[in-house]
Parts: sequence; structure tokens; C-alpha cells
Amino acid sequence: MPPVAIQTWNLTKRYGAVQALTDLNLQIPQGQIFGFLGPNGAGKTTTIRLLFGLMRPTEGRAEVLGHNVHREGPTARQFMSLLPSDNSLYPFMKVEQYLEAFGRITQASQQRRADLLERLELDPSRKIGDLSMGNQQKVAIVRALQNDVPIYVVDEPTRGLDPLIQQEFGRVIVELRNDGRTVVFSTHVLSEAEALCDRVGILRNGRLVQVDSVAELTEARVRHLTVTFAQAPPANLAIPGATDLHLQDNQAEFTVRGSIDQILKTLARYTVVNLSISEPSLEEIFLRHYGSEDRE
Amino acid sequence: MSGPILRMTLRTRRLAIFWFSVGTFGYGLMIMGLWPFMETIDWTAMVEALPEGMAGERVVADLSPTEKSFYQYLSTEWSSWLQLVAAYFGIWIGASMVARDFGNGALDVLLSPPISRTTFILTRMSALLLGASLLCSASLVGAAIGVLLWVPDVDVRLADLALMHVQLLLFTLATSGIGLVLATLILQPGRTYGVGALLLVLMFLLTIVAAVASGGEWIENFTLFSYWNPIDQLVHGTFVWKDIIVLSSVTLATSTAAILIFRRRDLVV
Repeated sequence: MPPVAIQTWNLTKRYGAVQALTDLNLQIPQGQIFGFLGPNGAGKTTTIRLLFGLMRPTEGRAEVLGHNVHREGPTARQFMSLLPSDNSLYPFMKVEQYLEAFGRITQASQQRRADLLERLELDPSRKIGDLSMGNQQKVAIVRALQNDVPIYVVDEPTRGLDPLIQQEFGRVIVELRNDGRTVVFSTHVLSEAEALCDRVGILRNGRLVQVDSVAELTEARVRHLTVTFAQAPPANLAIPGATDLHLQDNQAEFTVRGSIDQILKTLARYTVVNLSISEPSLEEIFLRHYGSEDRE
Repeated sequence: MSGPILRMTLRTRRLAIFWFSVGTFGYGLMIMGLWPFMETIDWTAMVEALPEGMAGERVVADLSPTEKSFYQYLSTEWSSWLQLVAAYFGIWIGASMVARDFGNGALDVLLSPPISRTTFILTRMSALLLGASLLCSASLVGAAIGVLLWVPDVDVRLADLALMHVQLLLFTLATSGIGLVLATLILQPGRTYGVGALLLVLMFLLTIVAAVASGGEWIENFTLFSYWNPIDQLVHGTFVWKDIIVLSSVTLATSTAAILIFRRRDLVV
């Protein structure tokens, strides 16, 4: 087992009567992309804020590379770089000035910054306030990734990015992992976690529901399929593994959990005009996969 | 203290500091430039017509009528406008050191590198000191140039003018300390600026009440506006230690409180 990058013991945060995070016990090994998955309000951002000492835990503790994030905050933060979910840029600055200013705080590498700017196709001479939301998100990404640290924590990093840049960002993240860095990747998009992460921790209502490998997560994945046939299918149409099957005219709607291989083989017997696959919301997945009650 | 954060803090506030300083420079120059026209007004008589507490009784009678009128004029100008501008600047910039970055989310990014919160606040206080120094220096330079150009008939000692601005700096720092401590307590920018402005108005009103209400002198102990009296320095050449001690104590107390509160403060979005 590789050394541990981040570990928490019963990490708990309450705001008055609101339980934002409950008994989080987590171990993230070095050299992994760890997906932090959960719907909005699940406690992902609270966990990240606790790790960076922006909030104090009500109970429990957290360590980064063996350093308590609350007692040895500055030491622990030496090893981490944060990309918060909230774009917090100075619109009156030029991209280059802004990145340099923050780079000086963390002694970031200019070469690394230049490389990221090129890969994310970001013009450093532009004024931040004049940039689109997607380009502003790129600035925030470069600011976080220009730091040469063993652990990167990125909260909803691909928001506003176009698909090509999302892919490039994914490649950058994977390269960091291959270079032995740890990336904590917080998202509420299941497919994003599937594509990039080695392991995934699922949070719901402030509790860690499960920690899975991505393969296990894919196995548990639920998808909605809508198939339009050239002619109305037989009324006794049987599709293995399909649930909630609804037939209307020449269209069939159903839900599948796990692999869709058998479904496609079954559908191949008919003339299919259109097939659409949609990903349910995380909340829906939770309800289907874990029931309405949280798993302890 | 963190050099890069100090540079960034000054950079992000440079326009405000610059324009406030241009304002105090221009104001210093203007009031001296207006003196040749104001000289014809009997300021002494006008000020003495005010309620007793507001009459600037500290100006002694052994000055020539011109000098006495000049100092009454300055007292009227500085104790109202310049002091108000300094107080507004202090509260606003002090509050902005935490509240503005909290409001736009930049505080998360600023606090994520390996620096302690104490270092962060001390760096911000250094920026406050530099900003307030620039504001007061600009006022001093403007007034000094104005005196040399347009006030030949009054012997204004530049050293006393400078010491008066040192006191103004302490006053500005005390108000900025209040702004800073409010920001660490409240965090939300709108509310912080609102409470700061309310406090400012309240203190200003207390100053007036203390001056006009019979037997209300004790009230002036509770307003910072009572602890900057430019005429004491200019006319008597006395450094008013009581004022200095009060303003320094307020600055020290609010700064310490800001550090202690901010160190333990949850930055809840």
C-alpha cells in the first residue's frame, strides 16, 4: 500500500443545528486521483475547507502527509494546492499579472505556468474581467496547478470549460498522477469521476456512503435508455437487465444498472432508429443504489 | 509578514489609496490656497458665535488677529472634512482587508498557501499602515506647499504641521483597526461596511452632542473624533500625549482583537 497523502479520523463539522459533515474516516493514498463524488450540499466543499484550515472541525482530525491540518496548518498546506469551486479572481488584473502575483506566494515555476497556459489555450495578456466564464476557470486552474506540490485539491474544476479543454485538463490531471502526485477531484458529475479517478468516495448528506474503485462504481451505474424502433416492438418485448420498462408506440424507455452490453445485443435484433442514453442525477443514483436512507 | 501578499494587497487597493491621497493632497493645497480669500472673514468672531463647546477654545488669545483667524479657519476645515475623510478611509480600508476578499472568494485562495492567519493579518495591517501613511503624507505635502505659496503672513512651523499629520495617521489607524476587527467578526462585506459606517456616524454625532450639550463633556471620551485636535499641535507646538495614548491604545487593542478573532474564525461561505 502506498504511503497515505490525506487521512481523516471522525472528521465532523456542525453549523449550529446543521450537520455538514459526520464522522468522515477517509484514507487517500499517494499517487492516486481520488474522486470526491456527491450531489450539491453533500459535504464535499466542507471537507476541502476543513483540509485547508479554512474551518475548524467540530470533532475529529485530518492529516496531510502526517501533518495535522489544524495544529500544523501552514506546514500541511506546504504540500497542497487548492482550486476552490468559487472563481475568486481579480477582474482588473491581466492573466499574467494575476498568475505571477499568486505564483510568488507559493514560488511556482514559471515554466510550469507557461506550459499550462499553452495547453489550456489561455492568452496571458488578456484582462481577466474581459474573459468568458470558461476562460476565467482556466485562469483559476493554472493558478492552482502552477504550484509544484504533492497534493492538488480541485473542487468542481471543469465547470464552464468546453469539451476539448475538459479533455486536456483531464490529461494534465492524469500526468500529475503518473508523476506520483495525488489529486483530490471533487465533482457531482459521475461520468467525469469515472473517466479520471482511480477511486471514488461518495458523500451524501455529510456522510461518506462508500469508497469504491471506479470499476465498482461503473458496475453500480444506472442509466436511462430511450430506444426508438422503426416499427412498434412486440408487447412482450423482453430486455435483460432492464427495469421500469415502458412501451409506447414504437418507443421503449427503461433503466439499466451496470453494463449495457446485453441490452445492445438484444436491441440488435430489431431495427433501431434512435438510441439515447442519459445519465441520471446523482441523487437519483443514490436513491436507486442505496435507498432513501443513508448507509452507515 | 508575507512580501508577495503585501504587494498584492497594495496592488489591489492602489487605485483607492491613490485617489484618496490625491484628494487629501488637493484638499491641503486648496484650503491654503483659499486663505487669501478667507482672510477677509473674521473667523474668530464666527467661531465664537458657535455653541461654547464647538468654539475652538484651545486657540489662545496672544496670537495676532490674523493668526488667530487662520487657525480658527484651519480648525474648522480640518476638524470636519479632513478628519471625516480620514475616518471614512480608515474604516473602509480596514474592513476591506478581510471583508472584500471574503466576499469575492479570494480569501480561500489567499489562505490556502502555507502562511498562518496571524501572518496574513499582520501583512494586511502593514498594508493599512502604508496606505494610511500615504494618505496623511499627501495631506501634509499639499498643506505644506499651500502654506509656502499662499500663507506668508502666518508663521506655520512645518515640523508642527508634520507632527499634526502624525496624529492624523494615528487617528486613521485607530479607525482602520475598528474596520478590521468588524470585518473579522462579521466577514460579509455589505454588513461590515454598513456597521462601520453606522459606528462612524454615531461617533460623529456623539462628538457634536458632547460639544453642545451642557454637562455632556464626558461623552467625548467615547468618540475617536475627540482625540485629534490639530490646533493644539499647530498653535502650541504640543504633542497631546493623551490623544496619542488613546489612539495608539485603540489601534493596538483592535489589531490584537482582529488577530485573535481571525485565527479562530471559521470562513463559512
